[in-house]
Amino acid sequence: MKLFYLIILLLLVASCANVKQIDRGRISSSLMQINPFGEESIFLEEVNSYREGAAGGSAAVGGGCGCN
Amino acid sequence: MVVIRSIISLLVVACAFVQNLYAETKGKAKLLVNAYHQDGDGGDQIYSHDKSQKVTVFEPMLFIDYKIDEKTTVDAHITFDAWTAASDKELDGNTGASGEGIGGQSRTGGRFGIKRDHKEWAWGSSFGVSKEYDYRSLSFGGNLEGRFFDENFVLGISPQLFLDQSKGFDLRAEKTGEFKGRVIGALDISGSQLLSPSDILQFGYTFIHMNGSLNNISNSVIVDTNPYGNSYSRVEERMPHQRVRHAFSTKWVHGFSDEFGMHLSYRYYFDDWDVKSHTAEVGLRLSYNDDDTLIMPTYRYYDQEQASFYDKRFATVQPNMTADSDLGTFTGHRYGINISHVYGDKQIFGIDLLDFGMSYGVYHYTRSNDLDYYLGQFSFFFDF
Repeated sequence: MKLFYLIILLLLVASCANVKQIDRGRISSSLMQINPFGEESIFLEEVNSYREGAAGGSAAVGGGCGCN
Repeated sequence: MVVIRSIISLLVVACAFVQNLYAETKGKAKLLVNAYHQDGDGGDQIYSHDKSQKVTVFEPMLFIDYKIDEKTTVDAHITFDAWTAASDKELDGNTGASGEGIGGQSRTGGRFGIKRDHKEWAWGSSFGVSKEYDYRSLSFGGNLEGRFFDENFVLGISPQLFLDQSKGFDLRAEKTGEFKGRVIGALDISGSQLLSPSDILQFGYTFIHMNGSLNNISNSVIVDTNPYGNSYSRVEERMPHQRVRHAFSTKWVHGFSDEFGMHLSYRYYFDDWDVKSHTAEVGLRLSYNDDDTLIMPTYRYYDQEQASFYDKRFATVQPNMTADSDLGTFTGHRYGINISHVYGDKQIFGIDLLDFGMSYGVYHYTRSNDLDYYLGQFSFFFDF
């Protein structure tokens, strides 16, 4: 059910704006990237997923490492 | 240093070879080195009574992307790491001549993937391997991305599967045990929406299902009745065999101008071990030199409620019990800064490196239950 609400929310958000290609100069810059230091954040997110009880919202899901 | 030199040599030779095959730019390479140091004396899960959680990790990572044709990109992410841990040394000192002690403290891992990019959608798949002396893992991942409303809205769905095996440390026998398996499945759904020429909003939901042996490799708990009769009154932690985890996250990126922006993010997490947490991050973004230099200071706040079976010590043996400070109640603060700069086209060892750049990062994290870490990062990257 939560997944259903999330999809509805995403679709509602999706219909709220329309930025034309010609207006995307700033959006395409490194300043506006969702994660401008993507590779650097991989190790950081791995550390967080082992030093904290939470995971998710990033690539780290608590697998692939025997870290204590 | 031998590892670093080997990686750089391999990288340069590989790029020279590829450059001779193709005249035009098709690939990207990045070598990132992570140096991590952790300290703190709040580790009730540590076998020794000093509770030291001191760990030092050195981890180089190599990323290579290579475009095979207009729509297809293959990529590789290779990781080597080496570490020292106070808790491992303590166990090593207690293994005795007949036991199998702590082995080589290093990990080798790799992930290899392919991406296909079409006009309004893209897909990708990957597989990975990881190996330590007491741990091994196979992983498989996929990614499907749809772009809607003239690419104003992007929806991504990403499943992952980890087939992991680890050897727990048997405190009673004082030696490393046999491999036991666990399976981790994850599904990540995210959407990003352009709200204006200066605003992007991202939503996400992550579901993680873990099943199998979920004990940490060397964690232990103090039990007052001392069932094993050892000198420390300790037994292995006992985790449930299943964990179902949920995370809802959102991130907003805003540009005040072409040179100055910020981001805010928030995540709510909960699972069936009763761990709940709130994570918030704020970051500023400064861009100079026509987008060639980016500076990003960040602050991250984390607040966690403990697992239902967590305690610092137990009166009697329980079906589930852990003293792992990572599963306790605490708050965390992390301060950091990343800087990247693109120097432009450079020729190194006779090889033309396009858009050569470097990045630097430092972080400090402090947790209310006596744990701190410091992280330093350095990378160089280029197109070829």
